[in-house]
Amino acid sequence: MTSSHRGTRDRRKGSRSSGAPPWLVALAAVCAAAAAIPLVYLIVRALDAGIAGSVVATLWRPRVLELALNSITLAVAVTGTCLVAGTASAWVLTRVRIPAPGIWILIAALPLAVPSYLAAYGWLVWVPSMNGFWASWLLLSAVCVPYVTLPVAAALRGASGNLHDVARTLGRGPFGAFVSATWPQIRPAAIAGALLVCLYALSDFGLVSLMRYPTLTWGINAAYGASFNRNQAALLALVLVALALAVVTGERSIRGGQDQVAVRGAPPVIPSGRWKLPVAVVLMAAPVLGVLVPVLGLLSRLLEAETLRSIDVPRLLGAVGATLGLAVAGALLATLLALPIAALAARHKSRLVSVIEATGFLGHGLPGIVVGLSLVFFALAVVPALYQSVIVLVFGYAVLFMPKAIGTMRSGIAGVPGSLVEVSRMLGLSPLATWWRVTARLALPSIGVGALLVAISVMKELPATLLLRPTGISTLATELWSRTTVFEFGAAAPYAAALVLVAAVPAVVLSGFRGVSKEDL
Amino acid sequence: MRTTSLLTALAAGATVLALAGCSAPGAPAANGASSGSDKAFTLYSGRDEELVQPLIDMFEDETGIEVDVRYGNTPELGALLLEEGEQTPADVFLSQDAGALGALSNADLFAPLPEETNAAVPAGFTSADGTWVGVTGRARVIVYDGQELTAAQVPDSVDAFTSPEWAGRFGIAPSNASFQAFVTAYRVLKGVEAADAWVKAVAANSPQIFENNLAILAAVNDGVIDAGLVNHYYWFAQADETGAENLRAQLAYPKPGDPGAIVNVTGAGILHGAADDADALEFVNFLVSPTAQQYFVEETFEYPLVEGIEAPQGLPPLDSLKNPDLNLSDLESLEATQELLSRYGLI
Amino acid sequence: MSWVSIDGLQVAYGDATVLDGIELEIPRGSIVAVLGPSGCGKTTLLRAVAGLLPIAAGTIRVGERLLSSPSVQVAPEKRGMGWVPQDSSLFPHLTVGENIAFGMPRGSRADRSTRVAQLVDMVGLGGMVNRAPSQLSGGQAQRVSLARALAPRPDLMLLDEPFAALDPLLRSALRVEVAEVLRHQHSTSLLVTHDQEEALSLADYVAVMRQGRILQWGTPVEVYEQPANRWVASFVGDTVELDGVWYGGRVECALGLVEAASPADGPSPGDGTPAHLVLRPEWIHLHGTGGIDATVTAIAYGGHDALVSLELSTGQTVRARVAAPNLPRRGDRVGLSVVHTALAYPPAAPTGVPSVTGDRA
Repeated sequence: MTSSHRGTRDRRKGSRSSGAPPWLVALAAVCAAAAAIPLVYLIVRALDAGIAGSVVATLWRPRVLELALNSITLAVAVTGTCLVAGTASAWVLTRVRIPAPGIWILIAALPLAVPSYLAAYGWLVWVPSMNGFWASWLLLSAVCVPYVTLPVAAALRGASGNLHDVARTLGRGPFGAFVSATWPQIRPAAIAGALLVCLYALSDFGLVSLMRYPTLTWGINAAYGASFNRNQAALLALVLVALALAVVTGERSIRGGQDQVAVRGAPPVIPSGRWKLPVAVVLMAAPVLGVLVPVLGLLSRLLEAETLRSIDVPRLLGAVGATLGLAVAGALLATLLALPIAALAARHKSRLVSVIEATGFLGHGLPGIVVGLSLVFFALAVVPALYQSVIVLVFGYAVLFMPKAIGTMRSGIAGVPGSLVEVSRMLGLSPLATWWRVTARLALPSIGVGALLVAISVMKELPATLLLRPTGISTLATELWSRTTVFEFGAAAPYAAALVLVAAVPAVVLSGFRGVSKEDL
Repeated sequence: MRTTSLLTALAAGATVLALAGCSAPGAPAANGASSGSDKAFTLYSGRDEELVQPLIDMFEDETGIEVDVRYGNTPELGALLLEEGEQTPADVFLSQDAGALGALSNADLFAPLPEETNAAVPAGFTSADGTWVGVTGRARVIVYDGQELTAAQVPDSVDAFTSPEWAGRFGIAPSNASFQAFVTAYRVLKGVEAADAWVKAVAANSPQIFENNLAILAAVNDGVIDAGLVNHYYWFAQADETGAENLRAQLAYPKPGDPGAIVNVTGAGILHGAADDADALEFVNFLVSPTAQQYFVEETFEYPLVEGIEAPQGLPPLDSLKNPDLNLSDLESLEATQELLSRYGLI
Repeated sequence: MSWVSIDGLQVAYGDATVLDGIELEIPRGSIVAVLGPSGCGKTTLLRAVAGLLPIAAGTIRVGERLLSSPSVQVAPEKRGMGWVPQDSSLFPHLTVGENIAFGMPRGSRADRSTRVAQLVDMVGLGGMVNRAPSQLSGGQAQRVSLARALAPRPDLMLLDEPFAALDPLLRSALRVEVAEVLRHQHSTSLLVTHDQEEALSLADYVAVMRQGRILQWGTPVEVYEQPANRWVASFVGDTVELDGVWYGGRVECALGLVEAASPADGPSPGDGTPAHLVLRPEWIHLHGTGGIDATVTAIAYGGHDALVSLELSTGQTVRARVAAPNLPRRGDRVGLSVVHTALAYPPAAPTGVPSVTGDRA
């Protein structure tokens, strides 16, 4: 053991022995409390339903167990697939010599821009009998893969290739070397991405309803829509919350260890040689399945339709403007709320910190209708004057999508080496000034990534928007929805196209994020 | 450069927020209460914008009353109204089905409608306690795959779907209010035991479960299933969009007296806080006026519920569709239906 | 009054005591090196002085200010110290010039850039003010790190094994330059290292540390030529060790009767008692004739000199440092004599710290 290694270890211990500053803990707790609003709402409604007897009777039915099992199965399958496919894609994108890698990364990010319900809808045009578990698994995986691909690609760029080479010389084959040498370095990024995928799969409703795969979200919607039994819906939603919490807690322990610290030196790039075909398959699978096929399906409907009227341009532009504005506002607020939680979780580990971080992730496991109604409840109870204003809507987005920002921001902040913080302190900067000029500055790309992910999600969001929007404001998603419910596919197509295009912009920007050093900026 | 972009984004976001906050039309009062007439009211519409907006425009032109409309899915708007409770900004709720109206009525959120309004629609197609009024009717029908089946092969009774030959070939939407209303009708017409047997048999017959009528229609039209139970209105809307001759799906009407041959209604009610709002009442009256009823006939091919307006062509007459002793918004009855469906795992 | 005064310093991690009663005085303007093996606590000491660690007992004073005590903990940014870490830790998002200017107090832009230019020239990187850190070599980065730490004119410079990450050839050249810069700036510096050559060549005073305690304090010559005990002797340089018998100022051993001195902290041995003799290889000279007979068994050639292994008639092996180019060959028979007063220690004397286990890590 060299003294330098010991020194680093001491250094890490030193920066943590000071403990978390109480004001940061308080601030993070307040922000996490915002994310807990849906939970509070659910508990209130569940208590309305009467404890003990009713709860058991409602939940311990074969149908509910079936729904829960379906939700879990889908989530597990989709998460596992995205983990493997995403890591493979990221590997190909960063470690294999391919022509125009920038374009390919861009393409890899595109499925983010397609809402899950649009993907399902587009596929049903080609294969109308498509339904059930396999269809849901396939489409949801295709749409969610970028959540793993992008962070893993970023991690691979920063990871050293030396360990891989060492492993090879020690007798491991290429795959074995990957598993033992490279995977530990990229694991935090991959697992954090997988968490987002899992929560998304649990909370999605649009796709599974079109694919007729009954999950808990289906049950929740049915409870609201059919029996107007909000209490029963709340109980089902609580089951989802429990699942989401289990997933979040599990992720924390699997992720383990430190978030990655950036390493200097370019990783090796190998030529594709005779692997050209598998490489192409890996790169193209998600974009083709998640973007190309559905978009073509939508376009073909467009050509069939009678209502291909001339596009109402002012209206379309209005919807575009509203979508963009809400996306920016939502991203800003979500970033602001997520920042204290990420900053706390990046450098401090304790049970309290785990609880705060887990709470921040709650909103992401719930379907939009639950979050929407919880905010209706909250707004009317606390700030009735703001009800049905943009502010509550933007707040709803922040609650829903805060988790997308927390993970990336946390790893970005953690990736700022402790020694830089120490150097800054020794040079005379107070902790706050250090945070602003060094940590935040270096974590800025990650913060940007988090904000972009939120922005994309806001653009695609539908159910909470319908509930919370100010009367008269519509986004591309709501305009799209209002047309497809009456078969007006022709009129819907421009909005669908606009939505994918608008959401593709941040997706493309996202794919371009690289490192943090001076020449990258 | 990054800092500049960040600042620009911040400025843009702040501007949008400010603009949106200012321009959000009709920033609402905590409740929709308004006495007399101030020439404006708020409408929550579970019926689609494309459909309803022209009607509203007509109303606004005629009366000069400004209507602030919020569009949404009926189930979600219903849930929203229940959640909002007394603090709702809405004055009128236009619903796509009676289930939502019943739930709201049961929660005492509706103000009773005046006699004349209720009298406009015959009993059986409107609320029993006068808290909401029916506006249009939709017949329950069997939609079938015209390529696979001839008209003769299509059953004329819902009982057919219990037989093994239909296993896996038909679709239902058990979480949908109109299906549940139909099952309630079955219970009332044929008795509890018969209804129980029917649900049990159907549940065991591999039914394809869909979320709503629209999805069933699309599935039949794409050849995914051979038949399904829907409301007539959806087929006509589709036919209007793509042309009736292009439609693979075709309609068949169950024989009169069959529980499958009932009428679901759309309706409207006035929220409690708007009990004294003359504008709200005027709109509800407008909905059951000849102008509006004729509009529905022409635009949506739904049954008018008001005397003296002719039903759309091609539909069986309203009289032949029996709505038996059916209190469309009897919640207890609805709960019993849901319990039945739930018992056999359909919801 | 010394500029930096560390008194009875005790630092603990949880239950383990890492620093146990450290006393250190650093005169103003001098370079002090804390020399010790990995894990001895030298980095902890540095971090405690920097204010990056709380202390359990004792005090740290710089100038007249009390900076650390169990009840007082002045924040690192208020201590006015320069910090040069092992891996240079340059801010990747800033240029060389911006890095250097980072800690400088608010002043006019012209003033700052003048000082930056001054510092950049001083560390030999003139013309590189606008380079990005990733474009610098290890040595260049370390120089920037030094300039950055010096820029705010700190009261005390703290260097944490600053040359450990560089390759050996670069290391020695840079060492000299860094010492020059520090002296030129009249800085008071505390440097920790495990490399004895570094400590001896750079420092005005050396503190040898082991397992949380300081074993010896003195000039490099004192520490090298008069180590306080056997462990310090073997850590600070190569040794030749023999057992012998003490006879009033001399030790009878395989190398004959050798002049020897007993170190200050050992009791003066009585005549006839066994003693352990320690010599530096360069204190043994080779002759063609005369002296103790020995045969050359191996030669470790180092370019400027060689460490020659010799077998004595008793069968014991000693090593002698012989300046090039007149080196013997393997198998030569030579005569040995000792040309410097050797060191005599008690045979099984404690080395000054309890629980002795494997010394060098």
